Amino acid sequence: MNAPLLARMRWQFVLGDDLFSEAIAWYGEGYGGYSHVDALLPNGSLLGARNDVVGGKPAGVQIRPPEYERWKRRAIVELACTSIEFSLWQGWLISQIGQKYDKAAILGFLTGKADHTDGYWICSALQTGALEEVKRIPKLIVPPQQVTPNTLLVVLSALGAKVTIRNA
Amino acid sequence: MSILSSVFSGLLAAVKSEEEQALLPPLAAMFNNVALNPTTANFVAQGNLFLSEAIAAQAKIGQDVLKSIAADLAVAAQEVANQQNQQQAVNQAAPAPAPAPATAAKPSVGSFLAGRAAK
Repeated sequence: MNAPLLARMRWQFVLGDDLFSEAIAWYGEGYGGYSHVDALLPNGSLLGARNDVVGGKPAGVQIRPPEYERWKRRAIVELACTSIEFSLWQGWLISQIGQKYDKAAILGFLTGKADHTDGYWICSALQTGALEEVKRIPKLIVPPQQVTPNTLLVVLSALGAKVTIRNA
Repeated sequence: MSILSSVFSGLLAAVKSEEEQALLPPLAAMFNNVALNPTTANFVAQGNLFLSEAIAAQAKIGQDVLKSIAADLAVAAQEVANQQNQQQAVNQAAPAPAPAPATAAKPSVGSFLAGRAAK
């Protein structure tokens, strides 16, 4: 499909202000990494999967308000796309609202086992799943639940996404 | 444009309660804007704008209505994408246009020389 690229998928990658977030950001990247990713919707709200109650929303996949937490560092990532791709991407993400956080997948990172609960998501798996769903990326060599925020950021930069670093 | 009428029907059906009727003005704006420029590309763009309004009104309309609206619009976007892909396949399969008729053939060097020799 050679439709013009009129829209932009956007994400906010952040480094949380706590030790657990620092550990996630370090994992697989060493330094300069991120601990969480949300889809950044056109009205500035953030759609993502979290394991905590924050921003007035329960854990799991939710739309949370902008600035729902204090972060140490953040990157805004933009990927040009067609209006149809944007519609499918946003529609699929919204269809996942209410799904639970995938605690088993986090345990799998620590134990080295492919633990995962179908239909549950960690933050970066949700965003990877959305990109695979709209066929903006092929099925990766690892399943979505094995994709960390750092890995997803590298995938997006390889696709030509524009990355803007902001020190929070 | 049968996609449009079915999507509009679905969206109207989703907007029922008093709280959800907050979405009627942006829905009406979507109808008007699509009517002014009834292309599939504009329909998808207007749908995305309407969905942004629905996201902003999530606290009023609730999660289920938002998901229903997003699903209707995503189905329509997928149908538009399928139609575009089919059209592209048809265009690629169509035979190449016939070449333009050749202009009067120039005399070959041989016939030119033969003509000269005959004089």
